[in-house]
Amino acid sequence: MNLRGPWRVGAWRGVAGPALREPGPRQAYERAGRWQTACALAAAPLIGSGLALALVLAPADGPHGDAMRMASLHLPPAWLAVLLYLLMALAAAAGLALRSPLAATLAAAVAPSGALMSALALWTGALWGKPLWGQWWAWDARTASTLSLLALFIGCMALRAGADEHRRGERAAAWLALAGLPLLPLLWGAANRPLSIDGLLLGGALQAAAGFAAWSAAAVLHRLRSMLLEQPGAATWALQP
Amino acid sequence: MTLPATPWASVADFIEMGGYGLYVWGACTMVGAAALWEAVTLVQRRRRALDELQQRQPEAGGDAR
Repeated sequence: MNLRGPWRVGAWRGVAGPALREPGPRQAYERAGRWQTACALAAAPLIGSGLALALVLAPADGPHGDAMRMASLHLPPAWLAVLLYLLMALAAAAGLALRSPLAATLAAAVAPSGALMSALALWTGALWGKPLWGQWWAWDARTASTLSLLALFIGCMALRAGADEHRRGERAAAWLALAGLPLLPLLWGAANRPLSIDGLLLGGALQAAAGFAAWSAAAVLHRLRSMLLEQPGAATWALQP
Repeated sequence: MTLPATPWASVADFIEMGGYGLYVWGACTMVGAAALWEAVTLVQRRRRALDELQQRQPEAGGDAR
């Protein structure tokens, strides 16, 4: 498909290119390495203290009692699934509009982490739903959207892996990621119901979510670095002393 | 033994989680297993990438850290 004008792939590169000064693979590799370490170190304490707040310290006086503590295990991966999808879609859009290989690689690096978070959200959601509402699973906007997010993450990974030509697979995955964007406001609207939750418990969930974000960031950056090493031209910069 | 400043009367109470222990600890276990599995696959991927790079350029020195 040969589009003209502003919809042509790479059309915006001239506009943004000079201002962007995209880092080369070696620079990206090194920068990612520093951030990866910082995020990995931050993840465990944040998750640990968040869960300690929610599971150990917070009172559970509401109608559902201790079952509400599951919020600290379900909400973080659910939020991260949405955030990671947004990141993947933005990176994919940048890869298309600016013809940026680094942005495309970032989108590829995000997908597996996003899939993991969506799967965790579904699992913890079922474990929370059973004590709260007596059902492991119910088809509604939340469950359907989260399942769709998981399918989209896996779909993007499959498109990249199964393509004969690397760029074609990347492009197809990018368009799929963008096509799934309308799910996000749908999921957000469906998920934001009033929840009577203790302040300390919510605080614990938020802290754990920050930890989950750090964990995902570290994983994405680690994967990005491996992907940069896998690229055809990597030998020119990777093995320099 | 009571745990001060917490709503739990004992460690056993905490583990039982008001009857929801199976759900809470089941979720915790899954999160931990997911983190572990991801870490292992990440390290494997990196090792494979470095090995392939070394194979492509066996005479080059240095390493990509």
